[in-house]
Amino acid sequence: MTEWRWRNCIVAFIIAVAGWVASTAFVTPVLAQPAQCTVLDSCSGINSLPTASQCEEDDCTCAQQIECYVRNQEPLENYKTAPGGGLQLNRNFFHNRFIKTLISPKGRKAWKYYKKHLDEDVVFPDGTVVYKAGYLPKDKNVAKPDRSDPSAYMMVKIEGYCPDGSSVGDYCLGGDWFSAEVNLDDNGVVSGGSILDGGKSSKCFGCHAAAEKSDWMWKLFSDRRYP
Amino acid sequence: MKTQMKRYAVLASLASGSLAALAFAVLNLPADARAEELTVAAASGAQDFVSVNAGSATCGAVPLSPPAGLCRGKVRLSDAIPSGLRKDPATVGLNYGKEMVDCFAWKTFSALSYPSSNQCRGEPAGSTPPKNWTNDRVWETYKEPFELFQATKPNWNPKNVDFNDDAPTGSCGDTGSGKKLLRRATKFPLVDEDYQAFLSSVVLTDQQGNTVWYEVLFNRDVFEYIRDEGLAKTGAYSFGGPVDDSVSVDFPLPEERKSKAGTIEVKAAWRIMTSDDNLNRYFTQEAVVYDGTDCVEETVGLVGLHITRKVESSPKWIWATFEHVDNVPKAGTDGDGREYNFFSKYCAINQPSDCDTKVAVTDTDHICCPNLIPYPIPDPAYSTNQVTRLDPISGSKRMEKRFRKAFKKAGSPFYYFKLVGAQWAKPRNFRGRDTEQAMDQLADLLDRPSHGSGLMSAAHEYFGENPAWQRPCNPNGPWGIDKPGESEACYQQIPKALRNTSMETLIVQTNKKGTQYSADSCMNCHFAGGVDGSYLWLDAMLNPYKASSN
Repeated sequence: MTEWRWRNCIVAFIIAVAGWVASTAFVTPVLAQPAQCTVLDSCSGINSLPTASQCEEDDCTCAQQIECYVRNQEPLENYKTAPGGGLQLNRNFFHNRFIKTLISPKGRKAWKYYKKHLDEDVVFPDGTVVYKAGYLPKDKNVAKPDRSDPSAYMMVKIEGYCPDGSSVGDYCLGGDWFSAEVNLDDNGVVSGGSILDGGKSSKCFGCHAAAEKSDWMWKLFSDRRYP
Repeated sequence: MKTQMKRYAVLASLASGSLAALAFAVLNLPADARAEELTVAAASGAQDFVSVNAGSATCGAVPLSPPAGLCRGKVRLSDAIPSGLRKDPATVGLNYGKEMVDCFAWKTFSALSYPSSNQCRGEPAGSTPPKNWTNDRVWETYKEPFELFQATKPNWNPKNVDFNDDAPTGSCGDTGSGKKLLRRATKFPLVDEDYQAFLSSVVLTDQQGNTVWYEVLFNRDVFEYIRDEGLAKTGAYSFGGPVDDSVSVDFPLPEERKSKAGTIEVKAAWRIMTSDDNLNRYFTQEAVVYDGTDCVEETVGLVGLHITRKVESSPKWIWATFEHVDNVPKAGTDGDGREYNFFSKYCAINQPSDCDTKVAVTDTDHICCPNLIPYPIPDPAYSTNQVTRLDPISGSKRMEKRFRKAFKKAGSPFYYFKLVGAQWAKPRNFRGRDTEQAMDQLADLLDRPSHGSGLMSAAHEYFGENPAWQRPCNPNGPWGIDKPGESEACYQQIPKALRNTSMETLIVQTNKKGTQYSADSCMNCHFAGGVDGSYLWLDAMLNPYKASSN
């Protein structure tokens, strides 16, 4: 059984145990578990990215529709690595041990443009999809990624997306970006996988928030701060 | 800035590397500073603790001591914080610089550990060495961000708020009556405390299964600077700092503003005390712990303390971090047979063999894998973090011994603290050999005589900030900053990595051999994404604790 299945089983177990513990009314506050949902088996009829209002209504439905859009209309095999985003041992303490950043075609065009025009404000076009694929190391060779069991962090720009509770004053955490963590299946595709923590994940935007001035992208933010 | 860089490039091309080494080394040590340094150097050792600016009857100024040297004189606890560093880090060797910065850190720690005045927040009650170690310390009466920022209130502008004002009440009502409010369990909180459960990100859990709680505080100079510049007005800032790009944030240095302390920010980590703890070993406080739903009264013990200060010769700040000796055992050991706050001897013996392939604790079988994020997040009742120290303590052993001895003599629980390390920056300028020629070329460039202070003043005016401060030589961590070339000016972060096990517990990476290492440092992270090194605006947006009484 792959690790994500184990993970789901264990999460389910923990939730069940936590529920039982809460019901017996002793011990500790019950903590929030990341929202999760399963990707759709069939994407029939889904040909576009969801709207902001659809995403604001339900994280899971939004993530499912995004995944379908990517699967049917803009498949991952058409994505290229973001400049400087090839497979690397991750120096970040988040994401996975090995990472690779893929970006949708129009997002990549924008990325390349802003890499060259450091004096311009970064604004990615709506519909940009960024995938940060993550790989665990192979069990017996920690220096090599296990490509059979990837996961991915996904950011999708959806015009006007800002669910309740995400804005502070006039500003929305993560701007128009929707984020999700996606576990892929044995073949490295999303189908059959699960989606964790979709929406305005604090895990994502608690860190990316500092890069707000470069449309929440750290790499482009660093380029501007340290030209 | 770009103009300065162009000038800098012109100079570099003229000098082929050798000129600027001299130019900027000298720029960093103007003539008046050298004269002052000589004066201070004459007053060595024990003189370090003489207060040169006793606190006034009205609130505002804090006592300062002369710039920190090497702490070679007799160590006595003092309420006076050092006004800076005796020598410019640019001009000294690494060992000298490290000792000087450690001395600065210990003296600041000592001064801020004095009892706070009842009348004036952020100021010591007096210069007499304290005997009472139970009431508020100086740093504890600094301001919390919510006392300055109220990001969810559209018309909030704290222009009439005084540093000395009491904290407004919030979700736990008036926590007055001497109780500390603790409401932070993570560096990456949710945006709105009323929207979802509060503890939804990474938390640290001690061996008793209790969450560790944090405080962020800053002193009067920081408070008044932000307030007076209008940078706490709601709408004037967002997650990334002030929204007006023309605003250039430059936090105050010692003696620039009313308190004379300069910029000081503090972060503290507290454990909930249990019947298993020996309270004599802890600095304890009565606290109200707010988990987003309930306000629970607890006795808490201090286990970690960051103190960061900006001083003239270290514009990238000095990042000192202290830890309780009971947190974790020495680096590279499996412990010494006893239990620690965040380290289990059971786990040390029963560590799974495949921890090096894990990036998170995803199941209970791997709960003994050290320094990993528990994710998805288990209930703390079922998990405790196994934490180890990855790098040896970098703080000076000599100073640790002497300061701890002084705390012990005073009967202070701060005796149980050690300096994990104090991070500082040393500018690396051009490599230079021919100083005479460099001076001549600089003089030609500026059309000045090649000797005398006039040349240096002109150079300051011409170049502005030393370009070495514009980028780190040894960027690390996640931000994707390229390492500058050998001939480029930059600042070295010393040490490169710094990790307090109670506060940067999970900021760890694994190399190709599967060995964990500390992945980042205070300075690196704060200058990668902060505003002049500070994340206060980000915190104000991510952590908008709602005050109800103002």
